[in-house]
Amino acid sequence: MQFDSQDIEQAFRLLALLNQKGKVSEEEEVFRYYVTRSEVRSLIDSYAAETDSVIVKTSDHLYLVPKSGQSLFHIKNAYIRREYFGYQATNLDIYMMYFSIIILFGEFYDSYETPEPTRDFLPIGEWMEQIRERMATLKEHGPEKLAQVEQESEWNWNGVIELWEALDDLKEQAKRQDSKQQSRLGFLKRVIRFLKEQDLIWEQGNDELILTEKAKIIIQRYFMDLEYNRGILAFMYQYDQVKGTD
Amino acid sequence: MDQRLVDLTRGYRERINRLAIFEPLYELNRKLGKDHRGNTIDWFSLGLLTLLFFFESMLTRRRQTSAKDLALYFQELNKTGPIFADEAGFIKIAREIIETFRDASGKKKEKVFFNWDTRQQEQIYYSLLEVRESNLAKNIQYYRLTERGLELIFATKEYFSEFQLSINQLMLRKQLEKGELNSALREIDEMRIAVEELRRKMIQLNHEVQRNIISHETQSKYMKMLEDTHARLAREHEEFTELHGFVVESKKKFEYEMNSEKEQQAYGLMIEIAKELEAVHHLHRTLLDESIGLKRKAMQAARESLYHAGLTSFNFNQDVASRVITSPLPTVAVEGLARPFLGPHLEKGWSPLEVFAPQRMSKTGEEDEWDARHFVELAEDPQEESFWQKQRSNIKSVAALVREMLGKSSEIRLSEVVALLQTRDDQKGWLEQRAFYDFWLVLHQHSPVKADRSRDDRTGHLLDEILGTWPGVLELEVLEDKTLLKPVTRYKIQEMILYVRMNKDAV
Repeated sequence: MQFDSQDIEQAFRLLALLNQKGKVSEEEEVFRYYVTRSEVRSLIDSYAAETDSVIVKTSDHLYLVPKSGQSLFHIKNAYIRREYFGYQATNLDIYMMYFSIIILFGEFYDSYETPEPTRDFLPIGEWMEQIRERMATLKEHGPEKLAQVEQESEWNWNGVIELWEALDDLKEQAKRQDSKQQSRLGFLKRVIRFLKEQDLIWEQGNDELILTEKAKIIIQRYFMDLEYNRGILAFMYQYDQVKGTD
Repeated sequence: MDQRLVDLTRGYRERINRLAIFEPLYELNRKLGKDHRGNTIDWFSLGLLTLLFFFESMLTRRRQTSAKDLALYFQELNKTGPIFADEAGFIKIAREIIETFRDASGKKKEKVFFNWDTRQQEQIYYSLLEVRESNLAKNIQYYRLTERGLELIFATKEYFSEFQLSINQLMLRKQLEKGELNSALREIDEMRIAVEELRRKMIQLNHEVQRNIISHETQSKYMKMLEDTHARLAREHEEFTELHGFVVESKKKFEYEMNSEKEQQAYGLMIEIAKELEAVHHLHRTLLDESIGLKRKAMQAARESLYHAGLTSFNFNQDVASRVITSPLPTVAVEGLARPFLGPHLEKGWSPLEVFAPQRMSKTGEEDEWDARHFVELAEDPQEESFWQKQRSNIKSVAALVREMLGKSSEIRLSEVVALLQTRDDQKGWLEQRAFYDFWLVLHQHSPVKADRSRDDRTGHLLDEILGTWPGVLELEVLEDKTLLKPVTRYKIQEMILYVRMNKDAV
C-alpha cells in the first residue's frame, strides 16, 4: 500500500501519544485522522499488531491495550518491581500483584446477565478477604500439584502462597497504614498505587475503590470482544493442555 | 435558623401522607406463608398485582370484582408456577391480600407519626380498597380501588419523573400568577435538580454507549432512548422559552407597581427568580446540544461495531479469576491475563544533551514539582491577589516567630514550636491558622532552601519572605520525622525539624 507522507506523519504523532499515556482523547487533533483516514487507521492498527496490542476505539478515546499473553513489548516486570516494590522484591511480588488485580476485576464483573459492573465500589477489606479465600482454594491443590503446574520455572504458586501467608493483615502498632509497611494492607496499597497510575481505579475515600472508564473499557471492549476473548481462552487453554500431558 | 431550613419541613404531613400508602405492601412482604408445595410466596409482588388487577377492572368499567375473581386471576397466572395451590388456596391468598389493603374490622389503616412542621403527634388514615357493592344473597363483596389506591398505582408509573420538569414549570407559572414568590424560587431549585439529574443520566448513557460493543438490538435500544431524551429536551426547551417570556412580563408588571416597601421586596425576589430561571434554562440548553452530540456518537459506535462482535455473556469472576485458581493455571498465565490492564512499555532513555538543558536548583523530582506549584494555590483562588498578599504577610509573621523561638541554636523541632506557642496566650491563635502549617510545608517542599536560589513563581515570593527574616542565612532545611502531631483538632501535621545554616561571615 502507498502512503501519503502526511498520513505517516499523523500516524507517528498519534503513536507517540498512545505510547506515552496508553490513550488519546477525542480532543487531540490526531484523533480525527484515525477516524477519517483509513490509511492512518491501518498504519496504527498494524503497529498495534506488531507490538502485541490492540487499538480499542470509543467515540471519546483511543486506547492502546496490550494483548493478553507474554510479549517483549509489554511493560517490564523489572520496571514494576523497581518502581513499586523496592529492590528486595522478587517476581513473587509481581505475581501476587497480578493475582490481586485479576481478583479485583472479578469482583466488579461477576454476572452473566449484564455486561456492566455488578458493584459500584470495592472496599479494600473486602478485596483482601476475597484474595484470602482464593488463596485458600489454591492451597487445597497441594504443594506438589502446584509445583508441577509451573514445570521448570523457579517461581511458582507455592512461593506466592508463602509470601502471602508471611504477611500480617496490617501492622497494628503503626499509627498510619501506608504502602511502605510489610503487611497485606501495605502490599495492596502498593498495588493500588500502581493501578491508580495506570488510570484503572480511583479511591473515593473511606478505603473504597472504584473503576475508571479506562478499566471498564478494557473489560467490556477487550475481554468481552468475541475475537479477543477467543484469544484469551486459547491462552488459558494452552496451559491446561500442558498440565494434561503430565 | 436559615429561612430555607425553616421551609424544609413545610408540607411534611403531605409527604408522609404519600409515603404511608406504601406500607401495606411492605406489610405483605413480611408475611410468611407457603403454597402447597411448601415454597415461600412472594406476597409483595402479589400485592402489587392485586392493585393492578383492580385498576384494570376500573379501566374496563367492570363493576363487580370480588375476591374470587382475583383468586381466579392468580390461578390463571400460576398455571405453570411459581405458586402451586388449588382454588381454595388461591382464594385464601386473595382474601389475605385484600384484608391487608382494607382491614376486615372496618377500621381504616392508620399511620402515626411526629409532624415536624406542627411539632406534634399526628395520624393519617387511609385504605387502599373499598367495597363498591355487594350481593347479600350470595354474600359476595365487590371491591374497587380507593383514591389512595389509585395514587399508589400512579406512583409506580414512570411518567412521573419524566414529566417532572414540565410539572415544575407549570407550578412555577401558577405560583408567579398567585404571587407566591418564595415558593417559586424553591420550584426553580427543584427544576435545577431535575436538570442536573438529567445530565447525570446522559453522561451515564454516553459511557454505556462507548463501553459496550453494540449489537443491532442494543443499538436500536440506545437510539430509542436517545431519541426519547432528545424529544423530551426539545419539548422542555420550548416550555422554558415560553416560561421565560412569562417571567419577563411579570417582572415588568412588578416594575410598574413598586410603591410600598413590600412591593419593592417582591420585585427583588422577582429579579432573583428571573436570574435563577435563566441559569437553569442555560444548563438545560447545553443538555439539548449535548444530546445531539450523543446521538452522533451512538451512530459512530454502531458503525464501529461492524468490526467487532461482542460476547453476550461473560463473567470475569467466573471465566477468568476462578479458572486461574481451580485449574490451577501457572503464575505466568496470571501475568499474561493481567497484561491488558498494564499499558504499553515505555523505554526510558537519557540523552547526553540533557547536560545543557536548564537545571533546577532544588532537588525536587517530577512529583514534588507538581505539588509545589499547586499546593498553596489549590486551596484558594490563585487569581486573588489579596490572598497572596495576606499569605505573604502571614508567612512572614510565622517566620519571625519561629526565628525568635530558635534564638541562637541552629535547629528546632515543630513540636517544640507548638509547645511554646501553646504556653503563650496571645500567640496561641497561630495554631488555628493555616498559614502556620503552610510555612512548614512550603519549606519542606523546597528544602533545602538556599539563599541564592533562582526566584520565579509565587511560592518563590513566599520563600523570599521567609529568607528575608533571617539576615545572613545560607540555607534552610526541613526534614520530616515519623511522629504525627495534632496541635489542634482541625490540623494534623508530621513532626518536622528545621535546620538553619548561617553564613559564617555574617555572624
